[in-house]
Parts: sequence; C-alpha cells; structure tokens
Amino acid sequence: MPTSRKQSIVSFFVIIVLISIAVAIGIKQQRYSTEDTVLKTNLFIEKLIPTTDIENYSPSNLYEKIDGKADLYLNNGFVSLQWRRYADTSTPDNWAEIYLFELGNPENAFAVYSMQRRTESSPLDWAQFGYATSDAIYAAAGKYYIEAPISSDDSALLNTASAAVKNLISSLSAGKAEIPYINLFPKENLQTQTFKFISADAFGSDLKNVFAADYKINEKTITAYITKDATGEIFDSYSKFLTDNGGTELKIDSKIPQCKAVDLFGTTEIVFRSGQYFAGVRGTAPINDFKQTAEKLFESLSKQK
Amino acid sequence: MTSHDKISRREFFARTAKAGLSVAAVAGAAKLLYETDVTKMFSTSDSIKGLKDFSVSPISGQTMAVVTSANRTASVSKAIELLGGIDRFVKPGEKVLIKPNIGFSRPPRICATSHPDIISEITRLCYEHAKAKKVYITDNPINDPISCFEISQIAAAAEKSGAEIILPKKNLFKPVTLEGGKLIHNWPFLYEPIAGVDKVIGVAIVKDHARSGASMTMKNWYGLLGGGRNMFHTNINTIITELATLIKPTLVILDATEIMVSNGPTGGSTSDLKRTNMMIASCDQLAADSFGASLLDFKPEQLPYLVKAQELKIGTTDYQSLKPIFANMEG
Repeated sequence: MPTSRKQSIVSFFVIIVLISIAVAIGIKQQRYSTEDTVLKTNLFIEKLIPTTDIENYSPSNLYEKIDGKADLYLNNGFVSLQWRRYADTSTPDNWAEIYLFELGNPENAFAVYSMQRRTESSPLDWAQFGYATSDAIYAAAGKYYIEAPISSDDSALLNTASAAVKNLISSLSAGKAEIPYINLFPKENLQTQTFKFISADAFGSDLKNVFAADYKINEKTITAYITKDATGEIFDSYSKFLTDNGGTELKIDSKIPQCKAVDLFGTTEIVFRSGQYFAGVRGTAPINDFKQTAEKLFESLSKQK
Repeated sequence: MTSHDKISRREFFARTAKAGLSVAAVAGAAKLLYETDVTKMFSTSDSIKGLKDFSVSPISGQTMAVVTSANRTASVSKAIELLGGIDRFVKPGEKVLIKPNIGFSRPPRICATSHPDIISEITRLCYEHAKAKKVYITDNPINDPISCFEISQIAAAAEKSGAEIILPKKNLFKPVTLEGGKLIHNWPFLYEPIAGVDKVIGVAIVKDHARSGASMTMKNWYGLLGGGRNMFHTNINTIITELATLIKPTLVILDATEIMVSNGPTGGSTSDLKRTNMMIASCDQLAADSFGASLLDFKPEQLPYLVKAQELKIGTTDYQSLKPIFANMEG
C-alpha cells in the first residue's frame, strides 16, 4: 500500500523523537563523572570480582549507608559515595569493599581523612595521604576519600586491596592535593601522621577550618593549630571563649608580641596572632615546652608574611 | 484484519488520543495520591499508644552484673546467671524477642554489630533452661537487611541455635505514639515482632557514636523505628530517651568485650577497637549504659541522653547504687 503524506509526516516525527531520546541519553552518559564508572572496571585485576552492584549515595540518603557517621561527610562538602564489594572467586569469605567518597575539593577530602585517622597504622609509601591498618586501606586523593576494608587480617588480601586503591586513584586522575598549611608547622618533634583538618567546632569551640598537628616533647603531647584570621576577630573571640569557660590567664614571658596563655582546668593553651594567621598550642606539658613550641610556630608563620 | 475491521485514519488518531489521555489521567491521579511521607498514611486513630511492659519484678542486689572475660559465650551466660538465671526472666512456654544491633553489614570482628556468639548463647539459654516456646530475632538495619543479618553472622547464629529471624517487612510496621513524647508520634515502628512476644531482650555493644557520643543499649532501640528516621539525628538525645521510655525490656546485655572507641558507629577497622573484656547484664538499661559510658571515658553528665533518662526516671546513672555484681572469669 503506498504511504500517504500524513503517514510520512507522522513516521518522520516518530523518528525525530527517537533520535532526540538517543541524543539525550548520549548527553546524559557524557555527564557521568569518572567516579560513576570507575568501580565498574576491574580494580582488583582478576584477584577479586564484584559480588554486588555499585551502590550510589547522595547527600539526601548517605545516612542509609553510614547512619550517624554521615554528618562528618555532610559537613565537609560531601557530593557522592559509590560503594561496591568484591570477593575472591575461590574463597568468597575473602572480600574487600571500596567506599569512594567525593568531597568537592582536596581540603574537604583531607578533612574527613585526617579526622578519622587510626593511630595503629602504617603509611602507604605510594600515596600522598594514605595508611593501612591490619584490615583496611585509607587514602585521600584530590577531592576523593577512599576506604577499602577487607574481611580479615590477611596480609595478602590487604596487599591486594592496597593495589586496588592505588589503581583506583590512578584511574581517577585525582592528582596531588595542595595543602599549604602543612608546610607552616615547624618540623622538629612534629608527628606528621597526626595532621588534621578540623572544619568546624574545633576543641569544643566555634573555631572553624583549623589545621592541627601534634608535637611529642619529652613524652608529652602538645597540639599546635593554625587558622586564617585576617582581622584578629578569631583571636579575640577564642581568647574570650577560653576565659568564659573557666580558663584563668597565665602570665608568661614570651617573644611573641600578641599572645595569651590560659590554664583551663589543668590544660594549658597559648594563643597568638602572626600576620594573617591565628595559632595556638594546647595540652598538658611543662610551660616552657609550650612556650618553645609556640615561639617556633610563630617564627614559622612570621616567615610567611 | 478484514476490510470490515479497518478503521479510518481519523478514528485511529481519535482512539490514540483517548488512550493517551486515559494514561495521562491515571498517571496524574497516581501522582496526586502518592504520599512520600509515610507517616501521613496513618490516621492518628490507628496509632498504637505505647507498648506493654516487658520488665520483670526487681530483686534487690540482682539488677546488674558485670563479668570479666574474653569469651563472650561464657561471660553472657555467667552475667545472666548472676542475676538469677535465665528462668528468672523467661518462663516456660513464653515467646522471646532478641533485639540485637545489626545496623550495618559489617563482620563481627569490626564490632559494629552485636556479636553472634551472644545471640546463640541467649537463644540456647532460653530454649534449654527457660523452656521458651520460641525465640525471635529482629532489627531494622540501616543497610540492606538480608546482607546485614548474613555478614554480621547473626543469621548463621540464629539458624544454629533455632531462633527465627524476622526481617523488617513493611507489613510489620505500625504507627506508634509515645504519650507525652515529642518525637514518637504516629511514627512507623517495627511493632508486630514485639507485640507478639512475652519478653524482650536487648543486645547491644559499646560504641563511639558521631552524633550521640556513645551507642549502647538505649540507642539500640533506634533499630525498631521505620520511616525516614534519620530526621531524628538532629534530636538524637531526645529520640534515645523517648525510645528508652517506650520500651521497658526484660533484660539488656551490653557487650564490652571489645569496644569501638573511635570512628563510630560504623568503625571499619579493628584499629577502632579496644579490648576491655567485659559483659554487662542489666534490668536497668540506663545503669548499663552509664557503666558502658565509663569505658569510653564519659561521665554520665557528658552524655545528654543519660542525663535526660535519669530525669525521666528510666533508671539510674548511679549504677554503683544498684550494687552491681562483679565477677572475673579470667582467674
């Protein structure tokens, strides 16, 4: 039967609609970021194979995966989480999981990495920020934070997970994160593995975006911290916070021109300003150790001007 | 199709348009009727007001026991024995519900979930010593329930010991209201498993918790809530105390053999754990939690939900006043 003009028009219209749908799907696929697809690849190089689908979480449902832990990520720019479990084909009880968190920027990724850092761990020599416990690998790379827990303390399985995380970071092309604050801390007695970025409520106060690290001096720990304070407002408000909460001001002889020392129920804290920074040291140690640590930090910050 | 059946082009378009309109009308009606807030689906009159009291008569000096041992099976058995034995709590022919914390699909070694050895032992005691009719286990996990029950090895423990797992299916939830409560009002609650039993035993672990400071026996009842319960995170202290007011358990077990001291409630590594080798059995959930808090270096006044619970007379934070029975099985 010969086709009519109307039929041709309708057919043409249907074809246009189908092509439009195909194009829209194509565009949508293009928009998927690397992390949407990276867990689909064989991260474990055939040693382990995926045993679950990829689970995707957004800020609205992150609690469904990690419940009470979600706040830490949500307060640090959480964008998405992809999760997948992989297992050994011959021994299914041997498994590893990958948690791939996207946090928007390297500072946020470093914040969640550093705030969860386990003390009993060893650094990963291939990662800028990474460590292994007996049963998991943890790393921050660019805007990503990655966890890879495994099913046991098996060292071979841990090595497999470590290789997979390395592979994952390489696939993500995450690059090196610039965390300039790290270089502001004097190196002597510094416990580099204790670097921490605290995005909010630091030390029970309103302090935000604080970089902290521990110093070990004569078996005592002193925590040093730095944050930006261009106007001096933070110095004033934090000093007030200390005294309002029961702190008593200590008289000390220091080289630092604008500093305040406070005893807060047996904990000593020295706070000061240097250029655009507000900084301090806190802990329980002899006062001279505090003074020296504070002065070295002050000198380091002074060089940044 | 015969020539008689043929329809005109005009009729074809008319019929297509009608069919399209019908589909659009149904879809539109469905959209209008679809309720994303599950709590609005329950009328207030359907709501169950409170739960029955599952507690047993108090016996002075036998309210709380703390047993030191690395062996969970032995320590939980001993702790219950010190309170008078399982037959003080469960009578022959009774049905028992065990409520473990199986919030996450984590293996037992991570201690983010209740340990399967404890579940097995309590079930065994209920059947063999108390002659219980049936032991059930339920929880409404945060992660996929089947995976949680399997990976936590609670499913295997239940199978081994003869307990029946009740998965949190939709039809088991009922709207529950706590009279005088601020948050538990007409809220979906895993009601059917608890409504059908005579006794309720909570089995929790001592964990650091990012929101509440610590997760122990009172926080464990959170796993009986349904709906979008994460909205309670901003009122975590209130929801914990309301749950502890709502649920008056027969007994609570608090496992402190290995406690999660950091990165809770999920943990993820044995590096988050500290071995303290203790098992607490208590008729007073607040006392048990106050003791557990001390293991995490918290004083009761540092955890607001413990303070609130004390004010509401759910129990006592001064666990020493109960003269807890301490026993050491490690020689």
